[in-house]
Amino acid sequence: MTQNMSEKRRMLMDISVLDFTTTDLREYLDTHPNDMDAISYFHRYNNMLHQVTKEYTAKFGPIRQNMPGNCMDEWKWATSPMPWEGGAC
Amino acid sequence: MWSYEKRLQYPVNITTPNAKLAEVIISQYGGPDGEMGASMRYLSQRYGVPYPEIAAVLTDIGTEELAHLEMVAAIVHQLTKNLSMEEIENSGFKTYYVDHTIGIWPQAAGGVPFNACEFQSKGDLITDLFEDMAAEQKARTTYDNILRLIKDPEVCDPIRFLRQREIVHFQRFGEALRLLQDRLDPKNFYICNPAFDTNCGCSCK
Repeated sequence: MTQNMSEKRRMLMDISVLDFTTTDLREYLDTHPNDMDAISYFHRYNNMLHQVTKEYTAKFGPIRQNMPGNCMDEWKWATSPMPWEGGAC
Repeated sequence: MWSYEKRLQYPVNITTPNAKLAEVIISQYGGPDGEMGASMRYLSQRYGVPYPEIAAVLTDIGTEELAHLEMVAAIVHQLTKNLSMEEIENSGFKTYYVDHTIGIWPQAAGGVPFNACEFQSKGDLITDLFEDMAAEQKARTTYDNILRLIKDPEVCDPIRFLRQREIVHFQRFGEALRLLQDRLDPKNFYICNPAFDTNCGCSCK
C-alpha cells in the first residue's frame, strides 16, 4: 500500500513536471513561433507527458477528461477524489 | 472550448488550518488583481486581435490562469476546512463565514465582491497589452504582500509558484507588445487602433 502510494505520488510529480514544462514552452513558442530548438524540445516532453499520463491512468484512474481509462465496472472519473481532497495533487 | 484535468497545476497540501491567512488569500480568487480577473481579462481580450500569435498568448495564459484560480481555491479550502468555531469567531474570517460558511466565493480581502470592473478589455491591442503587463505586476505585488504574512511553509510553497508565473507572464506580454509594435508604423504606433481600424499604415495581417 505504502509502496503503491509512493509510486502514485512519484508518477503524479512526473506529470506535474512534464505538464509545467510543456505549458511554459507553449507560451514561449506563442511569441517565438520559429524557434526550432524549442519546437523539438516541446514535442519531446509532450510525448513523455502523454506516455506517463497513459500509464498513470491505467494504474490509478483517470485525470484527463478525454482519457477515461479502461475500467468497465465503475466510472472512476466520478468516484476518485477531487484534487483538493487528497486526489491527484 | 476547454477540457478539465483532475489534478492541480502545482501541489497544494496544507495540513494546518488558518482563518487569518484564508481571509487574505481569497483576494487572489476574487480580488482586484486576482486570478479570476486575470483569466477573464485575457480570454475576453482575444476577439479583435488581428495577429494569431498574440491571440495564442492571450488564450494560453488565460487558460493557465484558470488552473491558478483552482489552486487559490484549493489553498483557501484547505486553510478553512477543519477550523473550530472558536477559531472562526476569533478571526476576521467570521464576517465571511456568516454569508458563505466555508464555501468559496469571489471577494477581495477587504470584503468587496468580484465584479467585471476588475478586469479591462478596451478593444485596442496596444492599450490591452499594457494593461496585461501592469496586471501581472499588480498580481506579483499582491503575492509579495501575502508572502510577508505567511509563516507556514506549506502555504508559502504554492504561493511562491503562483508569484513566479506572474513574472513569466509579464515577460510573454512584453514580447507580444514587441511583436505588435514591429508591425506598426514606427513613426507613430498610435496613429490607429490595430484591433479596430483597417489599413493601420502598416503591413497588417
